[in-house]
Parts: sequence; C-alpha cells; structure tokens
Amino acid sequence: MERGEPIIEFRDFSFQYNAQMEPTLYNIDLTIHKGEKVLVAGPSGCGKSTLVNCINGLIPFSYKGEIKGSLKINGKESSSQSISAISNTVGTVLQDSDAQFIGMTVLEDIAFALENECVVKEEMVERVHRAAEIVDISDHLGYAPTDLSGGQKQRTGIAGILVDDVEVMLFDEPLANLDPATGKTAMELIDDVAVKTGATVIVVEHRIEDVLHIEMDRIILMENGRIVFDGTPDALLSSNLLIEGGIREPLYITALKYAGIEITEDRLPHSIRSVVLTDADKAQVRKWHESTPTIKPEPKTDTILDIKNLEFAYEDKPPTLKGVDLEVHRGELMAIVGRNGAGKSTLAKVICRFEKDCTGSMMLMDDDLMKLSIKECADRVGYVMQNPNQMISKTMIFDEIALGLKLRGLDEADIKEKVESVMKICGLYEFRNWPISALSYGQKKRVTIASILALDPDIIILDEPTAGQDFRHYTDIMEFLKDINSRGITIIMITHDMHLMLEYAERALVFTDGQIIADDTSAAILTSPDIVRKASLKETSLYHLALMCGIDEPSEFVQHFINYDREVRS
Amino acid sequence: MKTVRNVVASAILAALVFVLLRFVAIPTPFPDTTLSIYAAVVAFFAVLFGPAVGFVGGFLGNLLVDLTAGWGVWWTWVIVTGLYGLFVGLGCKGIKLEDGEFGKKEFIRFTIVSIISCILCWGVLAPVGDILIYAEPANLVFVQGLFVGLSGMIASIVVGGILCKAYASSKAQKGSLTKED
Amino acid sequence: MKLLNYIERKSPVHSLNGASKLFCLLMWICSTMITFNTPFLLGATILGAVAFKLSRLKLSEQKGLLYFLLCFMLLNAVLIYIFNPERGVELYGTRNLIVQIWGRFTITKEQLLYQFNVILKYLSTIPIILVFIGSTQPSELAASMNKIGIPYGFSYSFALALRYIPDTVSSFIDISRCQQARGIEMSNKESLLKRVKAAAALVLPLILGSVEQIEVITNAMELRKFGTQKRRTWIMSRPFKAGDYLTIAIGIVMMVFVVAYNVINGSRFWNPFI
Ligand SMILES: Nc1ncnc2c1ncn2[C@@H]1O[C@H](COP(=O)(O)OP(=O)(O)OP(=O)(O)O)[C@@H](O)[C@H]1O
Ligand SMILES: Nc1ncnc2c1ncn2[C@@H]1O[C@H](COP(=O)(O)OP(=O)(O)OP(=O)(O)O)[C@@H](O)[C@H]1O
Ligand SMILES: [Mg+2]
Ligand SMILES: [Mg+2]
Repeated sequence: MERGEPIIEFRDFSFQYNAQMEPTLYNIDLTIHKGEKVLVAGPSGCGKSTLVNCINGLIPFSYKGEIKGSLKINGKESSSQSISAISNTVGTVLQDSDAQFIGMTVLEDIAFALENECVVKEEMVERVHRAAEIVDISDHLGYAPTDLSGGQKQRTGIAGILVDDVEVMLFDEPLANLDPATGKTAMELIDDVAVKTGATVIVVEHRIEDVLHIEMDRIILMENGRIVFDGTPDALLSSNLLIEGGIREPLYITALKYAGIEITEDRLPHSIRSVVLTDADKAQVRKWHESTPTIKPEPKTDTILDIKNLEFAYEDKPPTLKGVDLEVHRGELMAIVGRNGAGKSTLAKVICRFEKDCTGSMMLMDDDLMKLSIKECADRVGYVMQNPNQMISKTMIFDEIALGLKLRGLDEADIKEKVESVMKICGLYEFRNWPISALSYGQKKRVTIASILALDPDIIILDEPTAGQDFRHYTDIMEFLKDINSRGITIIMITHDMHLMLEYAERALVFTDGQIIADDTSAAILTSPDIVRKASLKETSLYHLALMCGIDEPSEFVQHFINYDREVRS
Repeated sequence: MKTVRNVVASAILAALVFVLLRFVAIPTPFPDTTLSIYAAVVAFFAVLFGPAVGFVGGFLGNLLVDLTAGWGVWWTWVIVTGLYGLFVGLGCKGIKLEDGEFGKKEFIRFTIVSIISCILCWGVLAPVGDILIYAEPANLVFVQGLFVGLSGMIASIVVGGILCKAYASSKAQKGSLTKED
Repeated sequence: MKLLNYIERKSPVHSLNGASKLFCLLMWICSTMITFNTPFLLGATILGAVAFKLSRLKLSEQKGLLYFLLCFMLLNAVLIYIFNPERGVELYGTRNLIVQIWGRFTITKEQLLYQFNVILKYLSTIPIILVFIGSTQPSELAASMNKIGIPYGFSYSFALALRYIPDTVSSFIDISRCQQARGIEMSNKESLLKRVKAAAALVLPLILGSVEQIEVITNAMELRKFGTQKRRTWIMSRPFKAGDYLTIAIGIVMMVFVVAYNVINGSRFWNPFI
C-alpha cells in the first residue's frame, strides 16, 4: 500500500528505567507512517507499555530513565517537546478505562482536555457533541461512570482523545475486560474512527485474533525489549514466531496446521474471512476431522450445589438476578459467560453470601446456604476476586495463606503443615519466605487461590482468573486449576475469554440480563449463532472454518479440535 | 498544589478519609465510642506525598464528611485534620518511602512526630478553636479533643506504621531474594 | 451510592449559579459561626427556611439527615449542660437563677439563652447546607469554587474526590466482605491493639490499592494536558444572572452585619441581661 509521511520515528532507541539494572527497550528502529494501523504484540513484560509511553511522552516526562538514540514525533525530537505538546499529536486510551475516566459524567470527561486548554465553553460544547456523535455515546452524556457498561466507558475514552483532533491514537490493551461482542464492536469502532479522521492507530494487545477482526497494516512483535518482527499480519501468521514468542495463534490457524495444511503468505491467513483454501485443502480438513471419532466428555451427575429461583436486587435498583436455576455437579470445571453487566459477578457474590438480600433457595448438598454467615459459607465455597490486590492483606506469603486457618483457631503445627501442602500444590513453596510485594500479578493470583484452598472448600468460584495475562501465564494458571480440579474440587470460572471456555470448561452457563439462557458444552454454545448473539459472545473462528469446509456438525468439529489440542499439548 | 500527582493524591486521600470516617469504626473499651483510623491514612499520605497533600486531602475529606453528615460544618475540626497532615508531612520530610526506606530510625521519627502533632492538633488547636469560635465549655472540648487525639495517636502509630512499612517493603529492591526448595 | 443528595428539580434556587450559591453559603456559615447575636440567628433560621421552601426540596427527602441532626443537636446540648451548667453565666457575666436542681446543676436564664443560641446555630446552618447540596449539581461545584477564586488545582481535587468516593466505597465493601469470609471480626472481645491491627488488615489493601491508582490517574490527566495552563475553563460553568447578584449580596450583608455588630457592640454576644 501507499505510505504517508513518517509520523513516529525511532532510531536506535534504547531506554532504561532509573529503578532497573538493565534497559527495558534495546535498539528500537521503527517508523510508523501517517494513516497506518499497527498492532504491537508480545509476552507480558516485554516492554510494550514502555514503548507506548515513549510515544505519548510519559517517558521521559513522567517516568525517569536514561534514553539513548532518537525518537521523533511529527518530525520533532520527543524529548525537546513537552508532554502536552506531544498530546496534541498523540492521544492515548489507557488499559484501565475506569481510571481513564476522570470526569464526573461522560460530558465532562470528553471535555477534559479542552477545559485544560482553556477553550471557551460554546466551542467546547460543540466539539464534545461532535466527538460523542462519532463514537455514538450522545445519549449518555449525563451518565456517571458507575452507571455505564465497560464498552460505554471505552467509547467515552476514545471520544476524550478525539475532541482534540489527534493524528495518532494509541490503545494499550483496549479489549481486556470487555465481553467478546463488545470487544469486536470496539475494534470496529476504532477502525471506523480511523477512516473518518484519517488518524494513525497503534494497538497493543495479547488477543491477536480479536484485533485482526479489522484489517491491520502491520504487526510488530516484541520480545525482551527488542523488536523481533515487523511486517504484515500475513507474513507473521505464516511463520512460527508467535508460538516461539509465547503468544497464542488464531485458533483456525492452529486447526489448519493440525490438519496438515501449510500456512503461507499467499493464503492471506490474517483473517478467517480472507484465508484462501482450495477444495483439496477443505477435503483435508474434513479428513482430519473424521480421522478420530469425537469423544464427548462424560457429564457428571452428582449434584453439589442446587440453586432454585434465585432473585436479587441491589438497593434502589431493578433486579439484577431474575430467577436463576442452577445445578452444579461435584468435580465439574464450569464456566459462566455473558455480556458486561449481565450479573455474573453478582451471582458469585450472592452464592458466597457477600450479598444477603436474596430470595429463592440455595442448597449445598444438604445444607441451606441461605442460613450461613459469610464466614461459615467461606468454609464451603471459596470466592477468588478478580483483582488479587483486593484480597491480600498480609505482607508475607505464609501469613497470607495461613490467615483464614489462624482465625479459625487451628494450632500452629497443623497450620504449618496445611499451608506448606497448599503451597506445594500452588507452586509457591520455593517462594515461601518471600514478601508478597516481590511477586508478579499471576503469582499473586495464585497466592489468593492458595489462601482459599487452605480452607478446603468444596467449590471455588473464580472471577476472571486470566484477565490481562499473556499466553504463558494463562496456561500456567489454567493448568494449575485443572490440577486442583482433578483432586476433586469443583471449579466455577467467570470469564470473557472464549478460548479459555473452549479449552478448559466442560460445561458452560450463558448469562444474559440476570437469567441463564443456555447450559451446555462449550463447543455447542460457541457454535450456536442464536445464543452467541443474545449473550454478546463471539463465535469461535473454528465454527466458520467448519462451515467453510462443509462440515455439517460444527460443534463436533470444535470438540474434536479441543480433544486433539489437549493431546498434542500434553 | 504543584504537580498533577499532588492534585490526584489529595483527592484520593480525601476519598479515603471520607470512607474511613463514615464506614470504619473500631469498637473501643469505652461504651458507645469508636476509634476512627482516618488519622493514620492522613499521616501515611503526608509522609508519602508531603505536607501539602496531607493538608488538602485531610481538609477536603473531613469537609465532605461534615457536609454530608448532618452535624453542620465544624471548621475547627476540619482544619485541624488538614493541619495534622501538614505537621506530619513537615516533620517527616526526608523519609523516602518511595525508595523503600522505613527502618527503625524512620519509625521512631514517625512515632514522635505523630505524637507531637496529635497533641498539638487535637489537644490544643481544636479545643482552643472551639472555645474561641463556638464558645463551648472548656472542659467539654478538652475531653473531646483528648479522646480524638489519643485514638488518633494509637491509630496513627500502629496502622500508619504498618502502612508505611508495607508500602516501603513493596518498593524495596528484589535482588536479595532467592528461590528455596 | 449517592454521595451528595442532589435532586434535579425546577426552582428559583436550582437556577442560580453554583458560584454565587457557594459564596453565599460560605458567608452564611462563617457569619452564623462567629456570632452569638440571637435575633440575627433567628433571622438567619427563618431565611434558611424560606430558601428551603423556595428550592422546592421536600423534608421527606432529607429524613435520614434531619433525624441525625436532631440527635446530634440534643446530644450536644446535653453534653454542654453536663460539662458546664453555668457556661452561660460565665459568658454573659450575670446570673439570673431560675431553679437549683441539685449541686452544681442549676438552670439560669443565661444558660438557657446560651444553649438556645447553640441550637439556633445548628438550625440556621443545616437547612442552608441541605439547600445548597440539594440544588447544585455536583459537577458544577468545582467550577464554582474556581470561579470564586479558589485555585483550580484545589477545586479539581474536590471534584476528583467526589468522582472517586463511590469507587472507594464499593471497593472497600468488597475488601471487607472478603476479609470477613476469611474470618476477621472486629466486634469481639479482643484487646484494643489487636482490634486496631485487625482494622489495619481490613484497610491495608484498600489504601495501598488507592495509592497505585494515583499513578494511573495522574498519567491519564497529564496525557490530557491537565495543569499545563495558568487557568482552565469548565464545561459545567454557567453565566451570572440577576438572582446571582442578589444571592451574593445576601451573603455580603450577613457578613458585614455580623462584623459591624461585633465591632460596635464590642462583643459577639447579644446580651439582654445588662
Ligand atoms: N515505572 C517503572 N519503573 C521501573 N521499571 C518498570 C516500570 N514500568 C515497567 N517497568 C519494567 O519494564 C519491563 C517492561 O514493562 P512493560 O510494562 O512495558 O511490559 P508490557 O510488555 O506492557 O507487559 P504487559 O503485557 O504485562 O502489560 C518490566 O520488566 C517492568 O518491570
Ligand atoms: N454494588 C453495586 N451496587 C449497585 N449496582 C451494582 C453493584 N454492583 C453491580 N451493580 C450492577 O449490577 C449489574 C450486574 O453487575 P455485575 O458486576 O454482576 O455484572 P457482570 O456480569 O459481572 O459484568 P462484567 O462482565 O462487566 O464483570 C450491573 O448493571 C451493575 O451496574
Ligand atoms: Mg502493558
Ligand atoms: Mg464481573
């Protein structure tokens, strides 16, 4: 394609945080042209956010460190400008759309940058309305952040940088915490805005398949602070670099590889819609599908938790749970999915007695959960919140895991034995004398699971266990959960990750608007267009692949893929 | 307020003071009296972000509580909460929590500064202000001041100390740690 | 959670500019705080009631708060009496005994007037605070503060505090439930030190988490140019109208009256006993 003028130019650029022993970015050479759409990918900690912060000026103006080489934004050296001068060219939407939301209402938040530039009120109102129009949030201008869904907050964030007519839009992990359909809409919105304004778009994301839903011009792959690939999506997907870099390939690519089809650039593999398959290829996929009979997992039947007609409403709000019926079986590994704000976290809180004003019945084997206190309930049902920092209250790992046991009056020796055995299961034993502050996010997550596990619950409920984790940490956490599941503990996961649900959950519940609308195997749910649409999910690309290849039972194809994949990976 | 960070830190401190004053009450041995630990957070923020943040955050937090609680705005107490942050911030200037520095020496300094500031704020300034402005009986306001001052002192030293320590250790260098098996 | 009980409604008070209301409120609170002029306090109370009426707010909407006000007022009155039954005598310098109850507990005209003044102080300020909060959009507050001369950094701190209090509350609720599930209890018969430590465990995650947030919010604000100019404009600000000048005038008159009275009278007290 024809390239515009360069707008961002890194020349032999290195950066080292003052607090670090080693540089975080090494010898970056990168030119981004006007109007390009670029995806930056790479494992956790490889320096993606650092790169983003160099472009938007937080480095060197907020984070101190040593810079070598040159970075030009719009032809001018970045370190000779100021953060606000750079902001005129570069708009950033941060990962945390909640923290990005500064104003008390949508209107104020969009106007924030203009207010700071002392734009007069009349002009401000006009520009805000224009930006709100572009992202389609005009109907919610008076809303406070607590009344908005994740997707609406994201729209506000984008409008907040659009008011300033920026030339470059930077997105750091825009899809984390969005439900799959909203994520898809968000990407379409970004694409749409780019077309309307001609802006350059740079997106940082782990979820490559979801970003490639729109046409990206380039992918930049990073590893340990270096750029290891810079080229078209087609070129990257037909190489093995993603796997080597610990990043997940799109599922249809993996499936095609399993079927023995070589992925080359001229097949245009960047999207399931574009990929070119000959009739021979399709036959080969069909053959692979039929090669081994699909074994469906054996459904479990021993009921452990029985919920009937559960209803719940937050104070002064319309009901959030509207008659939930649910049977959980012993030893299951189950997923709860559904759109943002459907009431998934609320259900978990009600089951754990965090919220008490509910009606209906909840029986845990023969005990009535409704009669238990939070603490008594916690002995039976453990709840792991999404953010581990909200659960950790001690500074040492041992004390944190032992806390619940101590408060239940066990004696020292028993506690030590129990904590050590839990640590071994969770792979924390080697860190047993570390302070929690020295752990990574994923390790902290395991500490919180361990502290729940120590109480020997029958059921563990996890809220978004893998949000924001790269593929390696994702695999670590999920394999660990599978392991404790095989020890007989029932696991319920709340998630927006369709891959996770496909790969690990044998059963999935679909939540919409406070009700369960489907209860089936993950493969069946993700191949049912009706449920997918109602619950704001996203069909797996395997489904489209199956249709393309003329397989009439897409759900069996998906199931086959999962079984095969498990075998290959173990 | 100099920097953006100070503006944000003051706001967050105000929010925390608000929540702690309104929601966290620790029962004490005295009947019908609770110990509020907001003084500890004010002290912690004052050490971490400096006297200006301590003052503005403490002041705004207490002001918001008074505005929404129904007992009217008691300016003397509102300002004194801010002054407490100011004094602790000034007295602890130079302690670099940011760099993981909070050992015995710093803790002792923090404790002494907290005690003096508590006495000054709730033992002297608030009661005297009440007498001068609201013409309340002296013994009443001194008893109130004594109580708030004492509980603030305990909370500040224990909880504030734990907070500083926890924050400092989360910033400490990780070089010394090795895996054991 | 609704923090400030703003009630959207059409009324003359609602249509006033936030800045003029805020100025008047500050003058009002300060003048009633300083003075012990009983007729003035009575007048302010009546004026406050009129403002409440004009604002078309309803007493029933403020039930919780009014109940609290009543309790607090009574408690304070009782405390003052118990601690010093003859505070009025000290202040007014005369002693008109009505009855001698028991020991030091007497009832004097001076004490009655003094305690009446204290109660009037509550009654004259609280309704006006209710009116202000009930009739001013929270979003307009910061703009108003800035307009009456308070630096915008400080004003914005106030706005941000309002913005983040609901978040802080809900995250505190989550954290405390989670700790309760682990078995932390605070109402037991433990020693005070242990209880303080338990409370620390409860608030530690909340506070350290908030500190982490500060950095993210700061970045978000810097990336949108906060603090780069000497002043800033506000999308929620509104132009001044005739009523606003009247409101400001009321505030000034109250303050001037109180100061003038104090100077001329030589004391803050309206004293009918001499
Ligand atoms: N403010 C900072 N001070 C010191 N070191 C930092 C700072 N921010 C990041 N680092 C370090 O730089 C490295 C790269 O971090 P960065 O946040 O850029 O990774 P990332 O690729 O964005 O990862 P993720 O996918 O988890 O967001 C990490 O090792 C991190 O510890
Ligand atoms: N503490 C609360 N008070 C009042 N309303 C709440 C509270 N928590 C959640 N809600 C509302 O209840 C609804 C369901 O929220 P919930 O958090 O259960 O959704 P969710 O399915 O977990 O969504 P997500 O996928 O975004 O996490 C939402 O409309 C939300 O605004
Ligand atoms: Mg990052
Ligand atoms: Mg949720």
